[in-house]
Amino acid sequence: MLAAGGCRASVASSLEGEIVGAGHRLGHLLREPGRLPPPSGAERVAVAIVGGGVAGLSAAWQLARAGVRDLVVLELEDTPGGNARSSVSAVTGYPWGAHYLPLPGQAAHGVRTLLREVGVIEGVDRAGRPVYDERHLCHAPQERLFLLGRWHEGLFPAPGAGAEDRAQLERFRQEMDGYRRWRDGAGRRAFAVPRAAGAPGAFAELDRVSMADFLTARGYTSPRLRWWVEYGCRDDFGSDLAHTSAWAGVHYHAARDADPEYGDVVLTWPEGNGWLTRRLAEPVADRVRLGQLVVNVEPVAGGVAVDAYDARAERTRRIVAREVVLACPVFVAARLYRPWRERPPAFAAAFRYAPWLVANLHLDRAPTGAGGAPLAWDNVLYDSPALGYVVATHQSLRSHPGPTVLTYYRSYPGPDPAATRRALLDASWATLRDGVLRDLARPHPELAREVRRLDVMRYGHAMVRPEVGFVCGAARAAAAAALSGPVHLAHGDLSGFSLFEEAFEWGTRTAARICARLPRLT
Amino acid sequence: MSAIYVSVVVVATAGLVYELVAAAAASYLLGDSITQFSTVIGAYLFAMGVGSFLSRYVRRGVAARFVEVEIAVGLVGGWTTTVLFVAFAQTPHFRVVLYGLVGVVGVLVGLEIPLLLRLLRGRLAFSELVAQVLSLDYAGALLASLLFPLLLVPRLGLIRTSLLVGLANVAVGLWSTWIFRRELATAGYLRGLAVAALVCLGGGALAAERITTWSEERLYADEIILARTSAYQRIVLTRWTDDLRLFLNGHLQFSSRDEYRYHEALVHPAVAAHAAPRRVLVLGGGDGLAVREIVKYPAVQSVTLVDLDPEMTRLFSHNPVLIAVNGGALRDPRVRVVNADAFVWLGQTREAFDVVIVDFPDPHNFSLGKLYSRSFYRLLRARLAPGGLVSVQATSPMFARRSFWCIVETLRSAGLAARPYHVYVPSFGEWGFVLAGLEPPAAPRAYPDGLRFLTTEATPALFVFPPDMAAVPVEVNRLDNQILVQYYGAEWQRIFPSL
Repeated sequence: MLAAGGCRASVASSLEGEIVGAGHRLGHLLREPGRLPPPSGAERVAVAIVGGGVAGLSAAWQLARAGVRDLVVLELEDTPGGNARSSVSAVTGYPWGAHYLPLPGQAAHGVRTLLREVGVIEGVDRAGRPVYDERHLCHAPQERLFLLGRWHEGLFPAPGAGAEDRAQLERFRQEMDGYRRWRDGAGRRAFAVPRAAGAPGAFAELDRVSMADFLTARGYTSPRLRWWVEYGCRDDFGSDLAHTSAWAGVHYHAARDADPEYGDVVLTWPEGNGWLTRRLAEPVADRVRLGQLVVNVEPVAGGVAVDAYDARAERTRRIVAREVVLACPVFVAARLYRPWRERPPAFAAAFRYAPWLVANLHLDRAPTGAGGAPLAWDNVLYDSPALGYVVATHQSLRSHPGPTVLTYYRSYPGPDPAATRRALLDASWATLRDGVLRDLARPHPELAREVRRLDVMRYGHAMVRPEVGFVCGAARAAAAAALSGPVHLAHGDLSGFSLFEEAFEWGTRTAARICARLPRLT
Repeated sequence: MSAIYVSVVVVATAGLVYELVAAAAASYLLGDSITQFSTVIGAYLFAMGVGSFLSRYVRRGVAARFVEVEIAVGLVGGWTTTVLFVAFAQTPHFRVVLYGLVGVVGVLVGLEIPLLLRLLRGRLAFSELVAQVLSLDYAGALLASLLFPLLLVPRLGLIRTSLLVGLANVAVGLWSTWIFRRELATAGYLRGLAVAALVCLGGGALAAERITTWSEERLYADEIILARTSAYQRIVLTRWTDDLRLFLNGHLQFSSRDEYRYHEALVHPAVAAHAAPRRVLVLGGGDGLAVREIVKYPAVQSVTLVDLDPEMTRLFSHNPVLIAVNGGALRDPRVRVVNADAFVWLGQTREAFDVVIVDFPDPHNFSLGKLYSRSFYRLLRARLAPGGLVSVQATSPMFARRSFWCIVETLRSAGLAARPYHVYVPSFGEWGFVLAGLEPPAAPRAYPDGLRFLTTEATPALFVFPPDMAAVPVEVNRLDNQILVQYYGAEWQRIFPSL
């Protein structure tokens, strides 16, 4: 590391900040349920949704659309959204997690319906393709990469690349095109978004090797190409090449087609996907309860009991619902669903999670420093363990750039997520702050003095890791089939990787199933 | 005695430098150096006469008064240039400040020699005293007139020159507290005053780097008469003889010699083509030059000018030199100035307009490129009243041909009927505009009297593009591709590779 700046002495003395998100502290109470007060009361609802992330909010949104109003969403954190949470300051909204959505393909009709309803899709053109409201498309310039002391347009490390690097990149793209174009007899893709729209079992053998071995076996030795492919894995899955199933690695490149009109541009908002989760939550805004730690879900006479500890009231309340959606990660569901708590299901251990760190930096103006390509939406550092930063004000229509917020992302790939998780959750704000500033000091030597505020969010279990053997394996299938009502499991985990479209699919599909089970409600 | 002679030379030199500094600053800022030098020198000499006359009313404590005059002349004279530069940008009454300062400094300088003569009266014979002091006074004038153009201004610039000379004056005052210590009852108090004045002037001289714009003077071919850094941009105004030029962030916005061609072409084809141009909107154009053309129409009832930078609209509403250029158009009762971001404002307003004049800087960067996007033009279209027309400045179809046609195509993609045209503006070269409307725009009916460039007969020819500027295939500029910024960068790079 060339770290020079960012040492404590150079940090502006006025730099404020804190660790935000109390969820994991509250969540750890789950390990000692005896310390919590016993449940009281017995509120009755038709549907209780445990978890206010994308899956839970999508389920609630879909139920509300179907006319089911008698529902409640229980969320641990102070803001809904899960991995698509966001905040807002005097400057702008800014994300605490997922911050973009690729243009949905034809298979993702649910997501297209959502986008149509919230005005992101304005209509269809003569060929029947969606027409987008340009304001939601990521504005140019979209990406830049800091490499060899300068910023370069785009994400592939082209500067300094040799003929061999370029030839391997071209060959890799062609190979991924092959996977992209593959169709089974019924016209289904091998790699689809949502996953459920793909041909079952297609190329399942890729799940038996890591992406690293996949690349090596095919002669992809270029360090630049491997960096670029690994960057995608770290960014989407939180895992490195060695710990990513080749099936997931290929899915990243082969599951989406470039739009004939818009290319591979994405949809984004200042607050990232928080914009979408806010829209999802709108129809059920009065039904979302925050700061609720669900400690127990169990079938009882006349329904399913959901016991939620309210940290502010220091009380545990019981809700008895006719249907319950466990819209939480599988490792959480395994702890709070009583039958699973008493006899842990075999699939639970296969779900392993990547820790993440997200930092939001408030600045009076765009950061200064290295020359080259101008500030883009996504700004990536080649020699960095982190993923770089996005600019929350990028979508602003103002012609003069003012104060801004940079959202810095770091996933922790590698062999031992549990150890990294412990270290991350033990670290102080000052340690995390210094790590962020040190990393960003290379392109922006003055940044430590320019930052006004730096907040960090730590995710112990940010997303399930699509490890070798897991993505197409038995454990995932078993989890997906484990519950069929009145308790349901709905979460992106069940797809094997964390994507908005997958969580949305599980949430809305579960809502449809509940509507079918409760016909009189709708 | 020789110490006193040195003081006389310093005082005399300083006295003439104040006069030269004021005259130079005035001609620098206002132009027409013959007038400025004549009036400043005349006013200054007259004020000196007033000072000499007033010296008779100093009856007691002549030495103390002399020291006080030295300190005062050092302070006021020393800060003269700085005050003049600030006043030029800040107030509409620059000449009042100029002649006021010249008068005050002149009176104080006029007091110096008579008081000094009276102080030395007992030390020399009268005839010798007058001969010595006056000859040294005139020698000091020669020294000043040589030092000023050869050493002081080139090395230090105007602001530091006057501060330095002010320091010398105060130093003489301080020194005098020892020379005339026998005549002084309150030497300690005077010394404290002098030291405070030295600190004040010395601090100014050290900070002069910030006040002065001399680093920029090298960037521009002409003299800079005003340079401001607003919250949004660097505003620089230069003058060379009668040519006034405005630069924003280093990009030329207009030259007073030929801007009428640009602004007549920008405004009149749209306004004169409209049957009843009552409500007019101007986006950008905080210089008020487009507004100057618009208010020539009696039919216009309201003009809304939306410009991001309050500093720009303030300067062009109040500064006498700039009001002379825009005819005071921004003070016309029909004009309303809104300082807001055009894109954001357009998305929020509910008003409808008959004519919209779009006069943004060229799309040099992604921030400006947004103001030429399909999204922007769609918002604009939504604000047009039935029959509404738009005129857009669209860079050069000659130097930036794809950029120009990209703007035309983007307007069309937003559902507007667009008719491109071009004129020749010597300081810009061949320049392009687009006339657009909900319906295909008609030919202009009649122009107001007094235009210097446009005629209804010559107008149809502006819409004809010779082959070297004719349409080329281009993409539509969208927020997500910002293709215009790429076209523009590539095209101007070819012409000015150093940019």
